[in-house]
Amino acid sequence: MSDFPNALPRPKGELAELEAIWKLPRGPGVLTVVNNTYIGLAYVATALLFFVLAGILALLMRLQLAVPDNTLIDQGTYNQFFTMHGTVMMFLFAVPVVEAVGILLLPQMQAARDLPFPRLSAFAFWAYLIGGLFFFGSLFFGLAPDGGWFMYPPLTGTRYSPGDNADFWLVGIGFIEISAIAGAIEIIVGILRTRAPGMTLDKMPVFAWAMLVFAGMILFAFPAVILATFLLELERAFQWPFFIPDKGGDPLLWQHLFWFFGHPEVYIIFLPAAGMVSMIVPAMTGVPLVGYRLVVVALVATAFFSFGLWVHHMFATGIPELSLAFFSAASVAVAVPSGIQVFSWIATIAAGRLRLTVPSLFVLGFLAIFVIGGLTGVMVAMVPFDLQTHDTYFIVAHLHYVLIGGMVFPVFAAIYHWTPILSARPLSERLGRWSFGLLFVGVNVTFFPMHIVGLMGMPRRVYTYPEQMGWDWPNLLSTAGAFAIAAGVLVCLVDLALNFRFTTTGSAGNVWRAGTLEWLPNEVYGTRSIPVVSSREPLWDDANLAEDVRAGRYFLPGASTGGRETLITSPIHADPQYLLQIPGPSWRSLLAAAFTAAFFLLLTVKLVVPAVACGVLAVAMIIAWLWQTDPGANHPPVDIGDDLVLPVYVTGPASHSWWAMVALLLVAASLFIALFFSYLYNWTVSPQVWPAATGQRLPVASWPAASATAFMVGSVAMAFSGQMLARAREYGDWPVRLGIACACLALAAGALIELQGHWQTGLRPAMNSYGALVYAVIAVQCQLVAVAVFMGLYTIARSAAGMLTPVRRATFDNTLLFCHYTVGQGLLGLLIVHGFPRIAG
Amino acid sequence: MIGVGPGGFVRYLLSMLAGPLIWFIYFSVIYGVVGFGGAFGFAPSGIRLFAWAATLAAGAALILLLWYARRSRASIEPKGPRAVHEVAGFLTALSLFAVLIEALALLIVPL
Repeated sequence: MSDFPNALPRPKGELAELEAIWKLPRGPGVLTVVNNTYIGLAYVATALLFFVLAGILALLMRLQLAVPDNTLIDQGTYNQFFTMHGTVMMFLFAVPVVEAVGILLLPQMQAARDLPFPRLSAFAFWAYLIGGLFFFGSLFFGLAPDGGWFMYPPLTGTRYSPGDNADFWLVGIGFIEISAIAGAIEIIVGILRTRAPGMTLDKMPVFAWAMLVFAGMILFAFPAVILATFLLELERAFQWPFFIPDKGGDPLLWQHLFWFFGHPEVYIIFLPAAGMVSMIVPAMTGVPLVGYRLVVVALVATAFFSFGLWVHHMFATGIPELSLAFFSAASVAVAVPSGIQVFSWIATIAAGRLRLTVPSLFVLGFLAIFVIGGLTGVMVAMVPFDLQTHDTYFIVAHLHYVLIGGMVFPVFAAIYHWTPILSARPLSERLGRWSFGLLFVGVNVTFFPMHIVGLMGMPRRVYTYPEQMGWDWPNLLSTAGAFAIAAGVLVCLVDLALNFRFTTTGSAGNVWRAGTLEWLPNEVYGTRSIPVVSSREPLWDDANLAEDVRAGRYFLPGASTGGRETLITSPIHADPQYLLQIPGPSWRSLLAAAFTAAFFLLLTVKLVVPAVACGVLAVAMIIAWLWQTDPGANHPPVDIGDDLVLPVYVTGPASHSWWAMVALLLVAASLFIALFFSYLYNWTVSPQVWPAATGQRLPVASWPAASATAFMVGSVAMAFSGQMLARAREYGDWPVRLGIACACLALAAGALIELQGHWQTGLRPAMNSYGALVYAVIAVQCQLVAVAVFMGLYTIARSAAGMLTPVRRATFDNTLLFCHYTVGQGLLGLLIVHGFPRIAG
Repeated sequence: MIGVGPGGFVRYLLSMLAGPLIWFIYFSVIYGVVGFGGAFGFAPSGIRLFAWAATLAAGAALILLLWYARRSRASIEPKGPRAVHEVAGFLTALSLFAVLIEALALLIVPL
């Protein structure tokens, strides 16, 4: 009897069928590709393009600062350059590139055929590409934002930034972050549900852990800045005064919201890079990572602590000393988990024998530069020191050491390390060493003098400086270093042009003799069969694994359902649960992304009618895209090997789509919590605009009571529909549709009653920050209700089309979950908006 | 093969993240109390007392969690969940460290 799930020889034609199902579309259809390898690679390439573009802006700024009193770039253009440099590096390079590497490598590392929502990955990529290019293009029309990458009001309010420049940032970045959240949801579900059988959490590659933590952080951090951009755009477009002190707003509210996102953002960037290093170091030393579990602990702890640090960007804003001390202490505490990882890498290098390859050099460079950046981070975590160096070039030096050391060097290491998986030949060792040398020297020559010039008092964001300040030579040195960095990047790009030969059939393979699954022979469909994992480095522990996988001895060696499919496993033990039928290439995700991007961009330049038309088309494309999902049990259960017969469809909490919906609701909840914080914050700083002080009449209790009743009726109606769906064979489909329709009406009524309740009291959003916040809570709730109603109508349409049955009900279950959440948030909103002023004044 | 359902996953997730969650709640409470208390002119001694009480409560909860983790370690199955358990223990210890660091701030910084 064989020890493998499937016997050899495999049936004739099985492999050819697999290849045909997964092949790349030809001609213009190539744009419809959704395979993670192609999308991931395009994602990485686009991120590198933005890296180069933002780098060119940096070079121009360095040229301007090379000598005192320079007039190469005028002040306004310089403001646009540093704003775009920071924004593009953070939003269009740093986050997307690690997300891209995740999309590219995670399925291979987990031996999955693809991620569970490939069209969502494609949507996220196209939205990012189109939105990013238009955003960057604003620079050529003088429309680029110029308020700094953090866009602090009041500078970015209409008074000081009356043009469209700030709107480009607010709408563009909000849109790009939605794309990042889509990618994060894909990654979370992919990691938790598509791992190879046997790959328990304890055997998961560290990079997968890092990406899981990264994606989780995105869910909780990004909503804060999405809310901030939403509020500032409301203020700019409709004069809702969230940040205007004269009307009870506070510019510091923006800083709180921005940095609640902005500081975790640093770790959102760093943790995946650390995950890459944790994969590269064992491969280069030939020994397993020392302290695997401690590294996992460090990743999780860093994520948590990073949410307690945001005020250390605001030490100079006049916050009470004890509050500052708490954030200062937390900023020191976060160094401990970071230190754990550094010691783990050093110990692994000490335990094995490090081969000084190009990836190793970049890892060593990363360690040196990141540790220096970390140490200056501990310095600026001290309030007295930070007060001296705040807004000086010392901070510029610190953040570049952290970001370049902590993220750019690992990404370059990753490029050199993982290229052999995708390319017919590895990159050049000689060019790689040149690239590393130039980058390492360049980074230190550029940024080390900035510590000194910062301590000498040179402020950030100045476009020139007078001669007598003594800042000349450090600036000249920094400019020379910047060109060395550019040369290093250029050498790497030349290396890629000369040596990167993309292939899905004959890659260079496991040139480093690494032990993890991404080094299995991968074709266009991923691995031929899905192995059973019994250790963290399966390729080291089973010398024949690659051959057995390629021969089709393991699970799912063919296309059991005749289409694209991958194995869904349980989140902790990775036990096979069902076979997921994955959608293939489609224009829909591309067109949906294009129209969504057009909607946001046209809205920014106030072309409302074309924007609405594009919005409608985007919704139509999304409906067309979703219509093909939720296929139901259209195929009998399949034998994937070892007599393991799996269903091809499940619904409810076992379904991967349910997990994605839960992740989405966490995003909504985070946004709501940020809004609640904003409400409380403005109340603490400006109680004089709250009803107790102004005498503003509150709606009588019957209004919120009616609204709450309507919301609850919505929830009950949806629950009734669920019951009726289970008995649809008995009672037919109409009670289901009626229940959903009633729920939609009730939810809409609840939101409208709440709106009318406040409107009839004479409260208006532009009156003061209290009014603005009350209507902001209503606006957010209305958004949720609109989506819930849309989902409800869509579910009714599927029912009418015969696509909703007691078994085929994933769409309904997701709608149900979303409606219940909408009701829960609605009730909480009512409690805050009506209860708080009555209790607290 | 029987997998762990979402309910089981949430249980494991919460047991793993219990320590950091306690730290996060503690941090939010002391920051909130100092922020609100300062804004509304509460007595500094009252704010400090509350912050100390929160610190002691968080510290005690984390120590209890560590003790419980150690006590129940033997009964956990050796594969996946045991690793989760170990990770949970380390995370709790780190969270305790973070709470102690915050207590240091309480000790030395005037309100």
